Amino acid sequence: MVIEIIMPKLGQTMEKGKILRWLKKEGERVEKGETILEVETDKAVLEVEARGSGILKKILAQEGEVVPVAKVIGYIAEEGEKIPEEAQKPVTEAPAPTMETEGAREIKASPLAKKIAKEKGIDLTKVVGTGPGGRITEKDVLNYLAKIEASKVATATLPAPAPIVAPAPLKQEVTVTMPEAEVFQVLPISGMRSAIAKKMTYSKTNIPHFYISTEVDMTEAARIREELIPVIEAKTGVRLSFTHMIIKAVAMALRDYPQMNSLCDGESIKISKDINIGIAVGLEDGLIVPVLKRADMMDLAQIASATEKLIAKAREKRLSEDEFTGGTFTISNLGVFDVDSFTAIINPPEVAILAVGKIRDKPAVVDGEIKIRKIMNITLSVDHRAVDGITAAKFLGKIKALLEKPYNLLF
Amino acid sequence: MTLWRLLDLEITYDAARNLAIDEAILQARIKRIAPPTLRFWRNKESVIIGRSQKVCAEINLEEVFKKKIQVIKRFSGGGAVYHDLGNLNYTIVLDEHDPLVKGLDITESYNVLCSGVIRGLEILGLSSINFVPPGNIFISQKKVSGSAQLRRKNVILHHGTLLINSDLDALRKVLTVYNEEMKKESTSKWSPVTNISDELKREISISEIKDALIQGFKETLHINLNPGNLTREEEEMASEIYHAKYQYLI
Repeated sequence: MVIEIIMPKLGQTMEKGKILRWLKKEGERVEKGETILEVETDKAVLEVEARGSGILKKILAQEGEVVPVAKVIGYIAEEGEKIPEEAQKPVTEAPAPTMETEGAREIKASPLAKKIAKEKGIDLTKVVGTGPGGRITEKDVLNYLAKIEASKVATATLPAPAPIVAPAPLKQEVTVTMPEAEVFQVLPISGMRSAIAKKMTYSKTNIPHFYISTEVDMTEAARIREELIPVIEAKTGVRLSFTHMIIKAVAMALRDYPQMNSLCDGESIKISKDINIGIAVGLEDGLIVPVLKRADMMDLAQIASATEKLIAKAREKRLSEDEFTGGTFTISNLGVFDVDSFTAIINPPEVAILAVGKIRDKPAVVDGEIKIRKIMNITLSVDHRAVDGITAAKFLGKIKALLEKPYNLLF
Repeated sequence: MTLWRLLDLEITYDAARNLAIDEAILQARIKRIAPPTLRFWRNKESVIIGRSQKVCAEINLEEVFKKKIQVIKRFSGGGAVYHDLGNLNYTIVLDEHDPLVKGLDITESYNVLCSGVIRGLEILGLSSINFVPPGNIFISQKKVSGSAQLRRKNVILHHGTLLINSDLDALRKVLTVYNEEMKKESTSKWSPVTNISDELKREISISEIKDALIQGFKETLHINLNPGNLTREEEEMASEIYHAKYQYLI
């Protein structure tokens, strides 16, 4: 009986493992239960045993390779047994594109046009050539491609609690051909990364973004935070951060400007009753946005405690579905990484996102004098289909006012 | 309340011997000739390299020779660590099917097995304790403890470090990850480090730490700890493993 050796999956979140060492060579006999392989994941070394006896016929993944869980990495079989054909290909190699070429008819097209057509699976007989003698050029192929893609654009559905389900296809515009040089390290695209790619592309190509930015004087906020830290730590065990205070300010401002708390899919705009604030959390292989539900109903201590719990869960990839869906507004804080300001991409179907920068000591004018104050830039990205400049500006102004007079955050 | 064995042998002269003992306890548990165990141990000046790392990329060879630091590669994953008598190591050996960890992810198992250490630190009066998966414990954003695992035949060996009053200058000098010019090839994760004694702002003895950790583990794992020794079989296995794997290393 042919036995597959597979990369073990220990628990729900394990995604991949690194092959450390094969303890047996191809052609050697192995017994059921014998340790044949060592892999590493999450700082744990796992010793993998043979699931049956036989000869280690084929090793598909070599030492040092990182392999996704449940992938076949080798075969054990008895003498004379054949192992599956696709065992000839190593596991981590990307599959070669399979293309059926059209019949032998001579089509007048430039070599580049032919190459692109082959890669994209385009029937050159359908492309109109505008080059000399009706020759098909690269531009003709790209135009044809754009026409095809334009008719395939998917529209996003407006969910009740759930986020975007069917975004537009990734390749919506001119195709990008990757160079073939061997100098690159090819990164496999994880599920998370491709989901982010789809969502961001949809957002940038379908939502007319506009941006407004302001500088917030956080000196008072810093002072009140110092006083509150021990109080909140005693109450919740959590250290109060500026992000927690910003979440509170945003939640309060959204109460005053409910249009900023709406959901839009291009067809309709719905103002959400609940204020659910998403906090962007960077992970090693991407980003995830845990959502703080009904943030406006929480006081600062509750926000601090709930946020830290969510972030910890996010980092461990243990968020429940309810905890990463249903957001109505997102905050992204790159201040920790020394970023002064940036513009974030709206997280559809939300209509705005707030990008927070680093708090820096800077000279500022206070009561006609130059003083050193703690200044932080915040930039709001807004969906112009749903909100106009003045509303957005007032909303941003409200956040600024709350943070500059932070005793407001205590209510 | 399950009963575990508490092993507290002060063998500090040879890091390889300590690793061999860890592995012997694992083997004994697999063979069911030893109970689940919590062990404390220390090494004099040594660097313990992670299973999949390249030794030369992680250590400053000049420092190693100058200070006569022992360098060993361990069987569990993770990054390179510096041990001296100011660092306390702990090892837990238990079954994968133990109710404490049954069905959990590797990352979740770290949460459970490190909880005793975290509770121990709380008992000592420390706050601002942060747990950063997998298996890292920070106090005021500085690392005091890391851990790693080996899993064999459905038994988990989980071990970790705890910086109590270690020579952090020596640590930063010998581990390349702390050296601007040498860190390029290192696969260890850089963190600022701190000693428990610095965070507590007082001197603290190793035995006080051990007491706090024992209390911590009892509370979080709901176990009772029975002080014991290595069995004869474990000693023999440790000897075999030592000679087979470690004898001729620097």
